[in-house]
Amino acid sequence: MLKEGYEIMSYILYVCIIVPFALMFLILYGGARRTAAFVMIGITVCLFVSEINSLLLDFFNDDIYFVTTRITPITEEIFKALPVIYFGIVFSDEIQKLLTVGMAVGIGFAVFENMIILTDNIENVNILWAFIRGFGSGLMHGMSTAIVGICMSSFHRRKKLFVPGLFSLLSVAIINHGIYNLLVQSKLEYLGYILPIIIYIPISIFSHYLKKKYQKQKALQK
Amino acid sequence: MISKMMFINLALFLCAVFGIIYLTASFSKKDMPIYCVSVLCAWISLALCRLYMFLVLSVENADLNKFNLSWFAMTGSFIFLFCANYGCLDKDTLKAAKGNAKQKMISLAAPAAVMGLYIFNMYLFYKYGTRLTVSYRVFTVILTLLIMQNSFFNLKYIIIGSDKESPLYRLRSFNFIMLVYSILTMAEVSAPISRSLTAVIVIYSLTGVTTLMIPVCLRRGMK
Repeated sequence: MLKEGYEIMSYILYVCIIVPFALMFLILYGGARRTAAFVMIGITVCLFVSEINSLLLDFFNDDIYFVTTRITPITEEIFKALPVIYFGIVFSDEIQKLLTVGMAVGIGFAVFENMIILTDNIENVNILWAFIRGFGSGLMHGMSTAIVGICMSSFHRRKKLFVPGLFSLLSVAIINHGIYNLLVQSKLEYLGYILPIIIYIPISIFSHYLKKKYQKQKALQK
Repeated sequence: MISKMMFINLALFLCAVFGIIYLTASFSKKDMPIYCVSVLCAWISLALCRLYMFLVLSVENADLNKFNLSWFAMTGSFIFLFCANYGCLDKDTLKAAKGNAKQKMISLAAPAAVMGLYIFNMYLFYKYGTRLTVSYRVFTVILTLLIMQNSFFNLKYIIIGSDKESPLYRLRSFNFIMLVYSILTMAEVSAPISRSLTAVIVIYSLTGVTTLMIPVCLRRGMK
């Protein structure tokens, strides 16, 4: 994602993915439409951030290790969180919606990032690489933004907490991303691939709990 | 020293994980109050911070005084604690927590002590000839300011909570340990450069104990 010389390819890929998504978006409605929209936003954010990361790489004299372990977690998490924050402020602060939106942005971002890396390393990839990227990077991006969404719903309702809460949420997402990037570039890389799954389990249990609670509330209303 | 710091951070990570599990398990059957949510988030941030520090030391053998992401997590952790004290109290508690001018004046002793520790830290850095990066200076200033406000609230709630009828009475032990934790975090900044193993072990052991005790005291206070 950070190497130069294939920017045009990333734009070609972007058009290939975004056009069918946009057509699907037009005929969907309700929650499905929202999810599709935020997956598209995630993909767009990835394209945008890849340009910023390229500039930062130039600024730090092509030190890929330093940039990927210290700088890109900050830029990527901030830009990924922006659409979720916007949705939380303008549309709804319901925890279920924010969880879905956060996850959708993160997964959209991860899908496009994986594609860019795939086209860059087309000769060296195999099925194991695909699984590692899917479970590792894919989940990590999804989880980081989902965390922002989940906690934001708690903090948004209290005006005093909104700004400090938002900064601290971003810091959690940034450090989560930083740990993943640090691990996958070290001898402990397999630990890095497991880490997002470890975070995924409690969030999926929490999501299941939310679903049950929502169903109970609906039954009571009836 | 690096290998020792590595294991110390791993131990502190495990202490924070215990706190997270304890708080989550305690409130599994009922809704968690926003005050506890904020402290829980602070502990998640702290656990990630300690894990990152452990990894940076074990993978890179890097100097933690240079720019790294654990600074964000540490700052984030104290902002979550600030949120807990500033905007998470319910109406009755908030009314009681306002305090009078005298109580507020006495409470200023805690931030003054933190400021004193900051000056002492800087003195130690110059004494041992440690070169500080600009980013590290900025980080320590931000962290000091956050710890100052946190310690102010903790001491104020301890003073107000000394009245048995106050809603803050039950949270006295929590606030006391939180105050100790804040001061220990300040001491932690300069502990490694003092090159005194005893000082490092004492400070980090106490930090570990307070990290374990804070969720327990919070749960008891919330009963």
